[in-house]
This record gives sequence, C-alpha cells and structure tokens, in this order.
Amino acid sequence: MQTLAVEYYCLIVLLSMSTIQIAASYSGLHGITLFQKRLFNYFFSCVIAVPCLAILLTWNWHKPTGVIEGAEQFYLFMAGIVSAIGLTMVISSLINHKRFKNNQEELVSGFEALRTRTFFQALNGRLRSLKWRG
Amino acid sequence: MAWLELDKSLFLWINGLSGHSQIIDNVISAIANDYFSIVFGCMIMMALWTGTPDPDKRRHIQKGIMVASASLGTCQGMVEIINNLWQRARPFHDLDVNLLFYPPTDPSFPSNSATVLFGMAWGIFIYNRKAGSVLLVLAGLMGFSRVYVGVHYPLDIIGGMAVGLLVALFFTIVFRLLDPLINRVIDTMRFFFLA
Repeated sequence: MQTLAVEYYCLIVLLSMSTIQIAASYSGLHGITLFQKRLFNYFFSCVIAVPCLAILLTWNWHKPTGVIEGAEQFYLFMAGIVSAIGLTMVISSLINHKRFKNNQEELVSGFEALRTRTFFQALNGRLRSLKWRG
Repeated sequence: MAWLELDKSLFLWINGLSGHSQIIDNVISAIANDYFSIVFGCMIMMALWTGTPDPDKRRHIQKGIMVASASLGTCQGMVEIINNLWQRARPFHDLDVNLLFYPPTDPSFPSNSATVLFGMAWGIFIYNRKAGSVLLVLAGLMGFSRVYVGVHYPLDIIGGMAVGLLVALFFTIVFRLLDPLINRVIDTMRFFFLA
C-alpha cells in the first residue's frame, strides 16, 4: 500500500512540474522555466508528462487490486502539487540565478515579475522593499 | 418506480454494449478509472492558473479555479451526505452485468467521481467556456464509461452532474458576493508572485 502511495505521489509531482513548465513557457515566465528555449522546454515537459498520464490511465490495468482510498488520494495529490511548486521554484531559481542576477528593472507584482527574475530574486526584492518601508 | 425501471433499462442497454471488442472495453475501462480524469482536470486548472499571459484574464480565470476547487471539496462532502440518505445498491448487486472494473463497496448514488469532476468542470465553465467545455466533455466521458463498465446506473451520473452544477452555482454566487475579499486574496498571492 505504501509503495502505491509513493508511486502515486511521485507521478503527481512529475506531472505537476511538467504542467507548470509548459504553462510557464507559454506565458513567457522565464524565471521559473528550467530551459530557456521554449520548444525544448515543451519537449522536455511532454517527455515527462505523457508517460505519467499513461501510467495513471492504465493504473487499474497494472494494479487490479491497487486501490488508494479517496481521502488518502486527496492528501497525496495536494502534497504532490505543493512539492511540485516548491521544487519548481527552488530548481528554476538555482538554474536561472546567474542569468537574471544583474536585473535592474522595477519589481512588479504577480507572475509578470517572473518574466525577468527568478522566484527567490523576486521574493528577496519584495522583502527588501518591505524592510525599507518598515 | 417507473423512472428507476427506466434507469435500469438504460443501464442494461449501455452495459450491453461492452464485451464485443476487447480494445474498446480496455480503452473505456481506462477512462473509468479513479486516477486519470480528476488528475487530468486538476492539471488543466493548474495550466490555466499559470499559463494565462494577460493579468486581467488571469485574475478572472483564477476566480473560476477557486470556485472549481471549492466545488470539488464540497462535492465530496455532499456525496457522503447523500450516501447516508439513500444507500442505493450498485448495479452488479441487483442485475446480471458485464463487470469490467473492480467492484466498489460504497453506495451507487450519486457517482462520487462524476460529482467531483462535474463540480470542477461547471466551476470552470462558468468562468471560461473553452476550458470548461473540455472538462465537461471529460466528465461526460468518464460518466458514460462508469456505466459502460457496470459500476453505476445512468441516474447516478446524472445525479452527480446535477449536484456538481448546484454546488458550482452556489460557490459562484458566494464568490461574487465576496468579490472584494477574493480580489484581496488574489492581490496577496500576486504580492508573493504566486498568482
């Protein structure tokens, strides 16, 4: 049962990360994409997402008795999404840090800031401005 | 009751379509599983949340996603309440069916997965017709497949669709009444670059 839960959790993490990558590439949020070339990012995300979807689609086929109970499925799903968001922020910030290091543009709110900054650079800028105001 | 008999006849007709082609049975059984449709629906919502470039349109769809998420959770609770009121037996308990799926143990009405998926789909549909239509088609397909594989009556799916719609409408009205608060929540998320 535990193995099933871990497998489901990992699938959700990978699927969520690839979904975020495809969506971020589409809206030009370069600060949170793992690859700067849009096509490459789409390709990489699809390579991960398609097998994950295929495994979910054929779950009952491969595991005829492998049922994860509804509530547990919900918690695993939520945990998977939160982990995927966290991982995306951390990994993309590490990868893109140098690229956007000398960005002098004014910090805007929302996802727009992530076009020219990594998540942690934007967060750092925000916290500094709060400190300055305080 | 006549409508329950009609429901059973419709079930027997749809379920009778199975067993003729192994490939079609496998494809429909795959769609009927508990893991794919809801996860796929949530991934569409996640893509909409992040992937709408225009800030105003994004704010609008993010409100839809909030409605859909609230509906999703509430639908689950509604199913449990209705299950306690009417414990309808699954079709494979009462009838001679082609069962292509593992036999679930919870009551048949309303279909849990259909209710949750329709709740989510209606929530999105109210705010974004295109994405909502995709989710409604997905929910409809999943509903049909649950009847085809022999685990639900058609009325369980229609009931799920109605409960999902009512819950989504309820949250749409509540969220519109609380619009200033919802805008504040989105602004706070935007402040921390999460929306």
